Amino acid sequence: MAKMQLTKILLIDDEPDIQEVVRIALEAVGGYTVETAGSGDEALKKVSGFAPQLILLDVMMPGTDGPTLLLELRKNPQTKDTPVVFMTAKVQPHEVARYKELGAVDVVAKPLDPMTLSHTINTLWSRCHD
Amino acid sequence: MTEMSTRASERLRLLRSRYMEQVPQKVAQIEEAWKNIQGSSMTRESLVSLSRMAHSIAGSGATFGFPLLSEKARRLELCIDEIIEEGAVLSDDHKARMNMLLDDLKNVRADAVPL
Repeated sequence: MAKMQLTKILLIDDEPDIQEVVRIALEAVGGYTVETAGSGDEALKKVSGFAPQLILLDVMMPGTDGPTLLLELRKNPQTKDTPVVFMTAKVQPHEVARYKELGAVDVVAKPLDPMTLSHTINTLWSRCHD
Repeated sequence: MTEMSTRASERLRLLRSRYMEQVPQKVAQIEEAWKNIQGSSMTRESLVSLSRMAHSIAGSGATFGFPLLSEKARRLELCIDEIIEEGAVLSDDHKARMNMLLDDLKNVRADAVPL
């Protein structure tokens, strides 16, 4: 069976600068289609229309933080099985273990490298579908 | 390098340039917020807000090619978080550390050199 190709990514991060960098990194370098959301509320509104195949989720956000939003995404029928990758500077082994216990498939460390982010995401996607 | 990645590099370069221009204002906002916290009644919320401002620079600086900026902002963020965890009470030691870390951040801003 052919591997499903990743084309649509939802980025959830409250920082406009990070949204722009990641959009360039994923769209211009990786050829993905990227939708962005600056908060949990905005993300939950966008998922039904956009139907992301993978979600990149910032951990520290005002209001609903990343881990709390992940739980909400898991309750949503449209995103309950969507792979979620956290983005965070807090990547000590015990922190990464906690994120995975919550249901994230992996963690991308900040600071991000915009020129290699697409490759990293592609590798994560391949691992999810092997 | 492919044409796509060449265009992406150029867009990132422009983004980095814009970020550099915004950093002095972001640092000045932190400085102003800190001055207000010391000058008026300090609340947990005002410290959380200040922590988020430092966190913003800590999380973005290195991504745009300014790792030292991220490092200094992270240290400031951790100091603020420590104050919050200790009950949001400003000791003289806290004030001295905060002022020192804020000076460090301001000095990095002046010397920021992209990778």
